[in-house]
Amino acid sequence: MNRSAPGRVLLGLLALAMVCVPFYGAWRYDGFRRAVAAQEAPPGAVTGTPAAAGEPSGSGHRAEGAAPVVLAYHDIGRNSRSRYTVTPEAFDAQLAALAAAGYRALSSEEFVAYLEGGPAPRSVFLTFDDGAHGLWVHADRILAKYRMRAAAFLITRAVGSHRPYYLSWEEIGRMARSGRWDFEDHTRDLHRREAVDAAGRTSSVLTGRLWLPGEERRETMEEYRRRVEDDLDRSIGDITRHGLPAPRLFAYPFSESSGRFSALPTNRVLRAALAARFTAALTNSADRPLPAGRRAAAAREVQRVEVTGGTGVRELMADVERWTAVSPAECPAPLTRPHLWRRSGQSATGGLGALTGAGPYPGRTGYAAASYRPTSSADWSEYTVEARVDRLRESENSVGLVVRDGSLDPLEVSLSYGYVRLREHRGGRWHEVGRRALADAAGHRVRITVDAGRTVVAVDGRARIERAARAAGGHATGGIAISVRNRDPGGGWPRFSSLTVRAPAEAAAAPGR
Amino acid sequence: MNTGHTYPVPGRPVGGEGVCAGLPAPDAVPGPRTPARRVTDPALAHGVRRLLVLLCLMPLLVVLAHHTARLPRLSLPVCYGLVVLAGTIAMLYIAYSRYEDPAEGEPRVRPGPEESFPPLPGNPAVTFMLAVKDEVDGIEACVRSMAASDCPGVRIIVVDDHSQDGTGDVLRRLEDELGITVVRLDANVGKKHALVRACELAGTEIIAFTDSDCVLAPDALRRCVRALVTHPELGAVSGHCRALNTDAGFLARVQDVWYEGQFRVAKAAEASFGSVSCVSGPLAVFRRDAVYNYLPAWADDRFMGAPFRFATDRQLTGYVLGQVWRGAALKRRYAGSPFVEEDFAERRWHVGYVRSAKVWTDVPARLGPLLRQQVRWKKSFIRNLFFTGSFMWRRGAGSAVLYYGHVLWVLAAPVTAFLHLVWAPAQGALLLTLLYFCGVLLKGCVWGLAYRIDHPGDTRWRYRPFMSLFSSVLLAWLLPYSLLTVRRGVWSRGAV
Repeated sequence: MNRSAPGRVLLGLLALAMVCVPFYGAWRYDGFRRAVAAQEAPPGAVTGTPAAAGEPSGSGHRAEGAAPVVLAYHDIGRNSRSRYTVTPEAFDAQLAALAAAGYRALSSEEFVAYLEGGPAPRSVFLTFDDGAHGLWVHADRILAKYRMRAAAFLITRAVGSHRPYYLSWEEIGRMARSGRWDFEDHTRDLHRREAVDAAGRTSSVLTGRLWLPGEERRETMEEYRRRVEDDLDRSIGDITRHGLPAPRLFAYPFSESSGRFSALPTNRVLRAALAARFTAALTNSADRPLPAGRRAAAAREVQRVEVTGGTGVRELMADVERWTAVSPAECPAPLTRPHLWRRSGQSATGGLGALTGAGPYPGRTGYAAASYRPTSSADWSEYTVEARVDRLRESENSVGLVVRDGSLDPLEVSLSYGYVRLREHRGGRWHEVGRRALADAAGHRVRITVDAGRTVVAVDGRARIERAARAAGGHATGGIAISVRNRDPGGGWPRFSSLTVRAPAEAAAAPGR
Repeated sequence: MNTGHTYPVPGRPVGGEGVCAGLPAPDAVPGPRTPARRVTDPALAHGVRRLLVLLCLMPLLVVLAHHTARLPRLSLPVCYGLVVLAGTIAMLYIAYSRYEDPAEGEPRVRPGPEESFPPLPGNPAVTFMLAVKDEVDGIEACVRSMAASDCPGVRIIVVDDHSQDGTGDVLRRLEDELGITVVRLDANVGKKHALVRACELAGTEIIAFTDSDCVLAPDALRRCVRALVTHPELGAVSGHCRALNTDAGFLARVQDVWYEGQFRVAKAAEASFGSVSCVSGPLAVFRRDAVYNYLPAWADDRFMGAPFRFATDRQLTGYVLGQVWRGAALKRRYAGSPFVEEDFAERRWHVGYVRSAKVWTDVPARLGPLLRQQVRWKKSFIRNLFFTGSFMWRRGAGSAVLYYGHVLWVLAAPVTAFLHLVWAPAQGALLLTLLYFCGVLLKGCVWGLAYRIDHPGDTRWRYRPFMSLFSSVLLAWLLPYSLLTVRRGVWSRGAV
């Protein structure tokens, strides 16, 4: 019957819809499930109690650091052969210890604000490289449990690929909406190593000019610059295209900020490209200590504490302690804390004895040097250090005291039997810039006052040398280092009999500004 | 409690209604948009019924959809399970929404004008035939129920295939009382030959068969005849068979529920495409012009060089289904037989199923006879595969899919049983075995639920999962055995 035809058609369409809806729904649900994996519940009650966090590494007091410590993670997961993967249980215990010790986790915005001059009391900045899937499955819930936040550095081309190894954009969206995550840049497609010369030696594709096999030559500087800038712009575009705020921070792939086989100009090009786009670049290894602070902000490069699968809670808290910035006022008698010094030179072991006269010495003749808490004194800009040395012998031994250690303008005061010499570090080498004669004596006193624009050296209360600082702001901050030298095989080594550090008289407890 | 089919007492007519309680007849279903008005258009009613069926099938569809979305990543056993699930859903959908009982109402779908089928007279004569051997206990009830059928113009012929146990005496008594014709054979010839002997005497437009341990509802034969009369395209129809001896034990009740599903769902699905592959022995009604020429071929059926004693109903149905392609050759081979004297044109007959024509048969109540019966049926299936399987693909997509799908299911059953019951435990993959049993039970419960919907208040649906279990664990293994012993055949139809 024709008049029932519309009714029949309608009923037929309804039947067709009833059959199709489950399949369409299942297809969409499956796509969703593949894009967004199920999260795993965080590990249960933390076995480490607040007491565990209360045992500091050895300083005996809880440092009220005024700069955040940046921690570098990669992936969170189980049964991984990579040494960089931390198990969810270990991550949970680490966050529990940090939370119990009163550390706050910063957001990217807060961290960037800190680098640009804002406050950041007792905090950590958690970073994750590569954007691995474990961040969604495990880390997100554990962060929620401790009400902490973190920043993930995405290789934007890898997002959604090699499932389930990397995150998907859907999961990233959920993480961003949760308010616990920020997403920063880890290049678009330069997280790999390729040949940089004819011999096939490989280096990070970001930091080195590539070998072009088709043309039997290396990239020109211009080609390199264009390639790097194009990749960085596209990675920023990838992130903003998905509705996320533009990244302000960058992490070097493999934490390699300079190529193994590349010359300086490549690094300059790279640094310029990064400086134009990001507030700072993060790395795990640098040529001078760059904890988050004024120095790192000025250098636009921040050094992180790496956390691997084998890092225990105690080791992590000790690392955090070591990297937490302290002020000069908190370190009145550095020589009484041998464990806070880092030895360098011929033999890098043996404690402080070679410099304080107690021994052991690296030999009958030689050189010994140590720097005082280089990772937590990087922001010292105003302080006074006084030292007494003795056992000096004419023409045969000397001591050295470096201020603004690790900055771009360190100054070494070298004391010998009859002279004081000033040396500054330029172009990778030390150059003498001043000398005064002293009353011949086996022992001398020296006082060095460091402040924003100049360094004043006074020996034995009489000889006085003043030098203007060549760098400013974060480029000029740094702590102290001492050294001893002996050329006489029969004689003795000089020694530091006392060493004090004080904040400038007008400021009681100077923050590392 | 009226379940729609109470245990029939011979000679006493059963309550007249033959429609199963459950889905009401189409013209009583109100459309969802016009609740107060009776919908007279069967097409609309069908549309509504289709929606209701899909609604009931929705949980299964969701399960199927959920797994189909993950298809590329699934293993072969799971894919097979999905195919079985899809087939089950399709069969349920077809049986409940497309199938129309040809004995009732006007047909919704008629064959195309290019096919022409000669109509039957309004009240055709019927010959109702039975072959019996040594059935002294049940033969009286059977013959009385045949005589009690309310179809006009029925001639009953009983062939006594040389019974030795007193069946002959019972028949003699009934012959006098009821006016039936009894043909006595001097030697045992087997069921097929006995029936063909009876057919020699059948000059009517319709010939019907039944089995010697069956009891019919009084209106069963009339309904089948009406179906053939109102649907000239039907060359044969099957009745709806249930178990008679459900009081005989657990196994009998399990088989009873199984039969219900096999007819109400499987046969109905085939009937909706007009290609029922087996018109079951308990009530098989044929048009003379659809089957008469092929009776000698049926009697002399050979397989692998030996006379094939089984393959009665399935093979005979095959002649009706495939005569367009196989009929001429058969007629030529048996050109001298009296059955081929009058030549009936080969037509593309439809074979249907009358759900309202009820018949009850004895089922084997003990394991031994049941297994023997199943072996017989498997051998019949194997033999028929080579005949009907050779032309069923020409009968249309729906018929082909149902037939070959069923074939695949039967052939795959021993393979999957071996895989999940022997190989998987040997490999330690007991989860796979568990999954298999869950799938089997799911299928059994789905069929049980279909029974439940058709018979509200009847608790026997709970027996159905046992049949699925039994079929997968035990009956599946009969196929290899049947393959190996297919040439061994004896005349044994007892339900002892």
